[in-house]
Amino acid sequence: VSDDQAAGRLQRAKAGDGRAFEELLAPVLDPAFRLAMTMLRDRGAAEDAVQEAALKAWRKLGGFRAGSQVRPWFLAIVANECRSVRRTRWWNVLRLGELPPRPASDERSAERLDLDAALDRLSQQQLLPLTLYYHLDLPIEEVARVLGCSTGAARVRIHRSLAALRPGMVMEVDA
Amino acid sequence: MTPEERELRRALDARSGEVSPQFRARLGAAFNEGRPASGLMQAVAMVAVVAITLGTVGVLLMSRGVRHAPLGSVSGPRYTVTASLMAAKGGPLNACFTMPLPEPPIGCGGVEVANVDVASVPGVVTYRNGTVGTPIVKLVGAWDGHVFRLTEQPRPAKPGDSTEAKLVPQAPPVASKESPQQVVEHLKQDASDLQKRGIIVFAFGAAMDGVDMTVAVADDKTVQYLYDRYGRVYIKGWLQPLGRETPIPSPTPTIALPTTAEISAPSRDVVWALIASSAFFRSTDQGTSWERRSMPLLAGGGRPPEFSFVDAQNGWFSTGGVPETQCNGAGAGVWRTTDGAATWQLVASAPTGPSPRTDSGIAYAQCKEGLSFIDTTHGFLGAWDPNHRPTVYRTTDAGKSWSASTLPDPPGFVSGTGGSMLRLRLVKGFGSTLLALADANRPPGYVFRSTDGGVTWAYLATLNSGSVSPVFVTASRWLVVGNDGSGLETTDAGKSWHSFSTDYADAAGVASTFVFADGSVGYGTVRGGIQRTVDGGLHWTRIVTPGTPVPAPGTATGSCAGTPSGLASAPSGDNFKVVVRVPDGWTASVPGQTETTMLVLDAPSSYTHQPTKISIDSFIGYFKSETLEQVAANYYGPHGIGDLVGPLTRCTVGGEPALFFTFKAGDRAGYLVLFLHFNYLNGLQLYGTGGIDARAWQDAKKVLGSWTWTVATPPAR
Repeated sequence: VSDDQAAGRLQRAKAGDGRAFEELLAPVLDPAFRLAMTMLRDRGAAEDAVQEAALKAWRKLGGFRAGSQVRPWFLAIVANECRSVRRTRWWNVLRLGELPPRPASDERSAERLDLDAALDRLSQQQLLPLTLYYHLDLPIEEVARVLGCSTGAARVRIHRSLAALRPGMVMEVDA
Repeated sequence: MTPEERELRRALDARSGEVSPQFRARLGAAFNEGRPASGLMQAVAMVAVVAITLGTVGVLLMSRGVRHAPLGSVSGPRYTVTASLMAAKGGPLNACFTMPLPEPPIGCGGVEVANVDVASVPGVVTYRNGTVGTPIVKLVGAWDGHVFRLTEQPRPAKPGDSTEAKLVPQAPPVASKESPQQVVEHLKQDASDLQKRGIIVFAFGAAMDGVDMTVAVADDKTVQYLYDRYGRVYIKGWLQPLGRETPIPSPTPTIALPTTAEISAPSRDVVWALIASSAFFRSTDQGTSWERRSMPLLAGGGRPPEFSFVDAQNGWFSTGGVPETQCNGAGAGVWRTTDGAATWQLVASAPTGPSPRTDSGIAYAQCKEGLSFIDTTHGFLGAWDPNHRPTVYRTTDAGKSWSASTLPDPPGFVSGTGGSMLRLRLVKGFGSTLLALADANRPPGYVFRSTDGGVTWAYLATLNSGSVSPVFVTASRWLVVGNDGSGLETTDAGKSWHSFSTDYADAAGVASTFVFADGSVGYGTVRGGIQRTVDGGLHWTRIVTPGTPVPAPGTATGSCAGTPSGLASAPSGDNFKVVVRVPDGWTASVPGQTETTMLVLDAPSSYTHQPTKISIDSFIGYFKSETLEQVAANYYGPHGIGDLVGPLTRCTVGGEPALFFTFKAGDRAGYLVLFLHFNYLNGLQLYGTGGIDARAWQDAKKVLGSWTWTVATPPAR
């Protein structure tokens, strides 16, 4: 998509064209949903979060500047929405007698189970930078934009999250 | 990449998931419904204030024409607003809009002027701007209870549209006995009191013989109060009353895809519902019919609003404000209505930043939630953070002043350790007994009891049922109901539990929440759908979710369904109930936690046709304007269930417009029938390996022919 096309699409979306907005959001819907799934671990809740985020994004589109990147802007809204979902009642994400079972897999090593459990223990604030950087593979600049901080601060948050995940874990964060 | 990084990526990947085509389609449908109106953002308003104060961007808004009487099914005040806007030469256009008192009643957006929000100002119905500017754009909109939607595209104003500033007549009665500097000091001290009175002061400063003030709304009452209190002041009003009324019809708003319905059921017949956190309704006949009511317009951010009503007239809304990290602090506001949600007043608020001062008794510390009123004067509001026991604020004067107490730690639970914190969900009153429900955002929930009006609380019970939405039916009878109808009941206030079977059914992947008005009438809701019981929770009937679209007539011809031949029946449902006859010898199973497949039928081993599996699907999607061909395109092709084989064929299922096609994906093949029920997408899929057999298709048509709707109301999401 050329810059002109993108600008035209943005203009049309701002004018209330639903299809243009859909096109604008289409490339970032996948990472947004993966982010929500990782944060919320529940398909229904993730769909709700992304849907709410999309509607909020549309409402906020007036403030979106031409030439800005859609992905970090929208992911930041999704991340906020996930935080909001997590603050809602626990019974909204559980079903009677159906505590979410961990998918069974014979291949899983005890270590991997430990890592899963460690991820469960992370706060949303800790999980978010790891998801953005290691799962969505966003460049550090975009991670920073989603987190609303400098790239240096984003690196620090990733390192802190890793430390919380597993003391002694060694990973490189791109400079 | 280190092995550890690979492991982490793999673990994160395992938690993740892909977007389903159904969800994609649902989103697309939502976008094509039109852009939702903006929330009210105080921050935006403040931008406007800065702009006005600096005078860098001239903005002019003139609103006129108001009425109070309801029209059609929408009640509450509606307005015709003509707004003239302007911009500095060559600068961005700005749309300005009013906000409710006591919030700053001005806001300005950026370049975009569509879907501007306005708000009602209790007791004062229309205003004219009092600032200087040259209008270049004119907007015409209609106030439909909450949202100012443009009914015309912005257009350049005609020459002569320019409006001169209308300032308040500057005729202060007497000079103040105090110096202007002393008056300025009083104004600073009075800021909170002025806000409570609905007087928003944007700017003030000492002038030679008095004080210059710029206020949001310079109506007569405000002006007189300021004169009386401060003597000679020179008032510039941003908005001033016009007093001209022009009734206009306003379309009944529809909510295409409500994902939430929150309910307060204060009595046997009266029930209130907040749909999609944005549209508010009252019913006085147990939800059979609804009327739109107004809700206070709340600043954006923070927790979703909560509300609690004690009858058809008296109720409260609360918001929690944007919380600090770890809920160390958050603002809060409590609004009250005494006229059935026609008008609202802010009766209490917490400071909006760290401050030891609080006029209402509600502190800035902790996040607020769990608003519950038990009668016209007594109410409760919870507050929590990870480091303290949960606070229960209580009021005995209808929300004006609040006192705090705390919930004790239940057995085995220590607040403030390892991030453990309880939060109040609700308080329910049964005579002199109060029950409070709290949890740590995960099971179990804990019940506390107070017999002294909430001054002290004692632990009563632990809800160890792995439970979903526990509901207090009476002081001693509590229910837990799952979406599959299975449940638990206690009749001794949690001492013992036994199973409880109901016909409540909803295929939503998230649990329902329930409220009871009395021992027999109650409501359950999930994903915006609402069901009602009148026999204490045994039997449930789906009722209309207010504000949702009415069914569109079917347009298809021909039938996709054959004559039924089945024997057994199997109920299923997703926001409505379907009965499907299962062919003799076939087995039916309800899949687990899924929202799309409601029922799967498996052929007996003796069955010789192919394929051998039929699934009854309720796809996620609301399609009001799309053709079925457009809808079907989401389901075949690279992102669908398989490649299209042959044409798309129109037909009907139970009188509903339908379409079917054949698909193939590798060695898997089948038919997919799609049809809309009240614009919601449903389907039947016949699939399996080993090719497509016309005789199997005939059997699938028998299943389709047996399909009956047992509830003829629009399913709501």
